[in-house]
Amino acid sequence: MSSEEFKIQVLPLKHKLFRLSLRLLGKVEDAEDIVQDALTRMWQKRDELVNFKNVEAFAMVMTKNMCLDRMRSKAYQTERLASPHDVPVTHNPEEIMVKTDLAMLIHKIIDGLPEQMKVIIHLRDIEGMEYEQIADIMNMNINAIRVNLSRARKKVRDTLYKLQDYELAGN
Amino acid sequence: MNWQEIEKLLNRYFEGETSLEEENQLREFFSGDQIPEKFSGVAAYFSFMQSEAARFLDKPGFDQQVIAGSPGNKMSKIIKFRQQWYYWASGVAVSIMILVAVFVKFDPFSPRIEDTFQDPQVAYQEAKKILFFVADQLNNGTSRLEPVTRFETGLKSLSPVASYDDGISEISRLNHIDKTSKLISSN
Repeated sequence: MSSEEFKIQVLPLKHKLFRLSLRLLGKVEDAEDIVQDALTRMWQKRDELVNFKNVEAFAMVMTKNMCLDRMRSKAYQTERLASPHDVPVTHNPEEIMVKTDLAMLIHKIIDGLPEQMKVIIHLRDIEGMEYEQIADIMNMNINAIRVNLSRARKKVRDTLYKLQDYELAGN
Repeated sequence: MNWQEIEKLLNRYFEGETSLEEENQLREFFSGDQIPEKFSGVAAYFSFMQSEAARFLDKPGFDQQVIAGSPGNKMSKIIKFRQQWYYWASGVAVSIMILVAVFVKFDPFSPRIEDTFQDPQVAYQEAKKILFFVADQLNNGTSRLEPVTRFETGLKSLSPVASYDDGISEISRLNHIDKTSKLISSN
């Protein structure tokens, strides 16, 4: 792959890779670091990238694995204890408090999902990927993807409803 | 699409059976106004997903850094360094252990005991000679110690002194006389 091709085909993936690692790591700075590392590695081996039929899936898998490695490192775990995740920003300052609270709540619920479900629900509901693509990235069959996705979505829904019921009962 | 249809679609959505196109329909639907109360959670979920999809990596100079080949990661550098340090230290430790093991096992510096005799009979004679020599020297040493026994005979002749002690205890009765004479004189 020439450097021009790399700039056109690979570099624009950075936003998608960033969102995935942000989903897993929760901190903007960490996510940027991982993506930069992943893309730098790919840049240094850009000659070999021609061999992959799906460079995007390759980049996603690599980023995902680097995030998981990072999450298992001791340094990350001690750091995570010290400072909690970044809270999602709402771009509209006029948004009412309730909506921001709900967004934070949903963020927390997704954050509490098992890693696999978290990645699957992210790839489908935020990135809008086809099941085949997700199956490639996760190295799972499509049926398993559907099952996990369904569980993840229901988990979010049920937790939301439970909390809302609780709030209604409380008021 | 009416609410009944939406509800059906939603159920399929939660079973993981909807297509991307159907999911887009749902998303569009729930981003509208006048969402019934019971769907407010779902609506919040869809709007959350949309705002998350609109997050971008906007670190200045990012592309240039990638192309310059500089990895971004402060933390991974530390980890890499530490790992290299571990490898290095464990290599040194293992080589020291191997060296120590070799020295203990083969001991290349201390002189070897070599078998210099061909005939075992000759070796036996030689060993006997040496042992006799050693025994001789030992006897020399002990003969010098003979005067010490004389000290013991001297001690024996001192034993009458012990009877002196008996005599002293006899004399101690004189104390009573001393006490009575004091009593008498005080009266």
